[in-house]
Amino acid sequence: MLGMIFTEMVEMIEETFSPEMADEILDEANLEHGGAYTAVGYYPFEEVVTLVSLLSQKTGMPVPDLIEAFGSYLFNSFTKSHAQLLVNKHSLFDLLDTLDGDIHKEVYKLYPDAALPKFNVVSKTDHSLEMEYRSERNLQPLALGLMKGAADYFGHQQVQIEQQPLDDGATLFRVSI
Amino acid sequence: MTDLTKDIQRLQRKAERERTARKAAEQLLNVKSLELYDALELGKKDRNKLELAIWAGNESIWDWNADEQIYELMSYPSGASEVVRTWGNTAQVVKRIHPDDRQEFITNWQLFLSDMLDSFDLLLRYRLPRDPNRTQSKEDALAQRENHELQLTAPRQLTRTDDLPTNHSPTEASRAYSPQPDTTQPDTVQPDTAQPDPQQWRWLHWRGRIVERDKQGTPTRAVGTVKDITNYRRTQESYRLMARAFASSRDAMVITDQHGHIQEANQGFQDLFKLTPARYHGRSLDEFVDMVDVAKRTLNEHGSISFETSSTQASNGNPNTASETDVGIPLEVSLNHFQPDDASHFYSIITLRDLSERNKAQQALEHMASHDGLTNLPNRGTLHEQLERMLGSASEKRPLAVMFVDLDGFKAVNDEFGHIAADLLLVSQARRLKRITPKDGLVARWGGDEFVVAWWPERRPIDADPIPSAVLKTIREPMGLHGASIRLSASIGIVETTDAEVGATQLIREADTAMYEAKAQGRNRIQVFCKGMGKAALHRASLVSELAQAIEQDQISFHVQPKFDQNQRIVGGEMLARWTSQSSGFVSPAEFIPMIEQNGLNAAFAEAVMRNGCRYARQIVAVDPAAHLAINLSGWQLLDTSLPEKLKTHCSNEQVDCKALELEITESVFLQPDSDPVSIMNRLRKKGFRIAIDDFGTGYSSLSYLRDMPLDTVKIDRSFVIDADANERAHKILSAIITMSHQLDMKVVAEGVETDGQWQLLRDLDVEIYQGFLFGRPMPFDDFLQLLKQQSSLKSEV
Repeated sequence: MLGMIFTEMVEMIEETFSPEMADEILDEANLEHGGAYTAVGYYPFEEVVTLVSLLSQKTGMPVPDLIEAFGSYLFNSFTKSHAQLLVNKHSLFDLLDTLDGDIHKEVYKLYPDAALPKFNVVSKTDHSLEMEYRSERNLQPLALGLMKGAADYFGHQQVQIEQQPLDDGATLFRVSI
Repeated sequence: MTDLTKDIQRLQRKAERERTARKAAEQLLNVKSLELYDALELGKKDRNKLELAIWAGNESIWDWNADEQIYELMSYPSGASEVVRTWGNTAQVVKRIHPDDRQEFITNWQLFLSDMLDSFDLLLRYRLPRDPNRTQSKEDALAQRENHELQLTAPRQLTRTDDLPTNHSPTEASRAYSPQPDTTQPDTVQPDTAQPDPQQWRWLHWRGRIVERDKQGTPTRAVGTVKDITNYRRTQESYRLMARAFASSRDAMVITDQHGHIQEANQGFQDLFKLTPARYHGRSLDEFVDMVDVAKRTLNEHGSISFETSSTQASNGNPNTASETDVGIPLEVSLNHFQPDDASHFYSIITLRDLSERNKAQQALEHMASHDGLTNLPNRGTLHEQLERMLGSASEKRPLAVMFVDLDGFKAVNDEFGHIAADLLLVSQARRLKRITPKDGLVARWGGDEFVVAWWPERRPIDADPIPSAVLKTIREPMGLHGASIRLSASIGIVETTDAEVGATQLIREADTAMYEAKAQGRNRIQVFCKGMGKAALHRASLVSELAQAIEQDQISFHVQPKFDQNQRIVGGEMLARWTSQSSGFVSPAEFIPMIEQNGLNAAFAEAVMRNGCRYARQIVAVDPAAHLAINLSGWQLLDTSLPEKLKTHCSNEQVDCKALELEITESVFLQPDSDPVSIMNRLRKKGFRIAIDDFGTGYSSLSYLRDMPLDTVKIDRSFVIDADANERAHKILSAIITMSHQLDMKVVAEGVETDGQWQLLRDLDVEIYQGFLFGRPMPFDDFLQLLKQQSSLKSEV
């Protein structure tokens, strides 16, 4: 998994909870590299699971909520570090529509080995959008958080997102603004 | 542990993690940098490889983008070590395309950019710029783009279901792009020739694919290659032409391998031998063509040869069914070797020309040159040649005879029936001659109505041989022509020789001389040549020319023999021609009248007769208005439907009444085939002319003539008069003719009255008019007129 996810997560824990908690979790996680994450590196997916589980234990908050919160945090962070990706995009739907085509293409330029989820817009009107989500990691809460972060970024006051599992293991997101 | 201590320891751990992470990142950066370097190197190498391939293939790469409407062209000009880049716009390209190809390019390009073609693939003619090394910068290309009216963008509204774009007709395209050289035009393509002629159209192969599209899927970038394939195309064209020449040659053509086995053959060969490819492929050529030894050798070695031979089979195409008597097709064969590039083996190309037609044409030509076109008999040249050959075999034991045959009266047939009918007659007579002539003999057409026959006579003397009389007889057989039955005769001259040394020319001349003699003796006869005849012929020839001159210059004089009534008074006279030749003195009418007829002097002579007759008649009636003058008309004149008018004109010229003229005609008039003398005679009588039948009782007289013919007078031939006082039967016939004539209201004239006895007898038979030496010989006109005047004055005295 991209090192950026880890560095952002550590930063979120430090900012949202406390630097001490972040230190404890990294310490307790007993990682080979001792938690020395760099944004340009790659790390096993299990480490995210370990970190989020430890955070859940310490805060008593459910794991999906934490991951969703992280998604929102992560999007907010993107708007600062990768602002060029959002040029010419004026709404959540603009973004989602070009997620696979534009955004992920740019991501691959920076991280050729990234394993990104697939997004496929199946229908779109002015106020609603249906999108299939496919990922080996099944990080639907992360996607949800990212979308909510984006909705917030674009100033959509009332956004509703429903999830519906599909037969082939994918998830259908129904987004309305 | 205090909180401070804890914080310090935590910060230390964090610092440691940060340091470790930085090192890991640096390490990662090093690895990535190396990877990047390697990738760049590899890319450069790959790119270099690609460029080399393009250079080797003499191709150029174009890269067109829709946003800017220009293309970049990358090429390796010959001698350049690096890729040369130049920019241009599509309109600049179009301008250099051959006018006939422009519309196709425009259409294809627009279809291509409309995504209606999977790829762009087009062959077109293109004019390269004068300076092949000139390039244009991207900025210039963009600037130039503005100058062109037509921007070849994809029409956005087009979809696959739309009609083909028609917004640019060829004329529009031609108009839009003037043919003037555009100095701003960049070099675009590498020619496949070191120094191509700038005026020459080059064949370019354009290929390309869409590589990028916008969100709507509209192509935004296309990349492809362009290649000058002029030389390739020319070579292809050349091969195609050669292949077509081989296939379509009317001559049979075959390609054999070095063992003489047929590999390829064209339609001409299949037609010539009537074979399908399966029947000849792989088989040896000498199964079909009789290859002479030298050709066989040449076939197995290198070299070329031409020879004439024939096919091993007749043209039925099947060697198995060809019988031994079948003759092969005559062939002209030419054989050449050629070697493919690998040089390990060679082929022969053999051209077979069917000489049958040529041979036939040659034979036909030879026949035409040696034969008369009309009768298909040998002509003069061939006659000489063959006669000389026959002469070589002539000996005492075996004489050779030559006959010169001239058709009598042929000219009249020609005049009357026309050339075509006369030609038919000649063909028919030629056929008869051929039938009569023995197989080892020879018949040739000498010219006109003259034929020459040469044969080996069986009997001697030559008069006793049956051939000449058989020829005479066969020519006289009647012949149908335009519904009429025509009977011709021939004058035949014969010569025979036992002397092999005498030339053909002399023999023919002698036979010709004998023929003239036969003609002079009254035609329709055979004359054998004897020494001295030559001189007579010569004399006659000079006399004929003198006669022609005399007629032309009006030197024929006309005497008049008076005619008397029972009281011995002159009632008129008969005008008779007299000619005194400057070289030979007086020439008898019996001699020169036939000469006139035989030598085509008739018309001029007849004119003289009519002219002088009218002149004389005017003077006669001036003295005695009741008297008349008789003139003689030839039989052919009665065939001339304009005769009545002609005669009338002469009378008018002399201001003499037609009644003053009596026209004497002979019975021969009625023998003319297909003629209608009666109607002409009727018309003559209507104008006032009197008509007498001359020499009645001779020739082919028929009583029906007396019944049918509009006659005024019958002139009884002198032979009846001479015999009448001595021969009882002659007397009775004479009496009958006179009685009959009178009963038909015709006057009777007796000719040749020489004695008193004859006169008494004729007077007893009630003959009205007498003519003969007893009363008066033919005399110069002035003497006749004097007599008439004396008679008139006596009459007036009485």
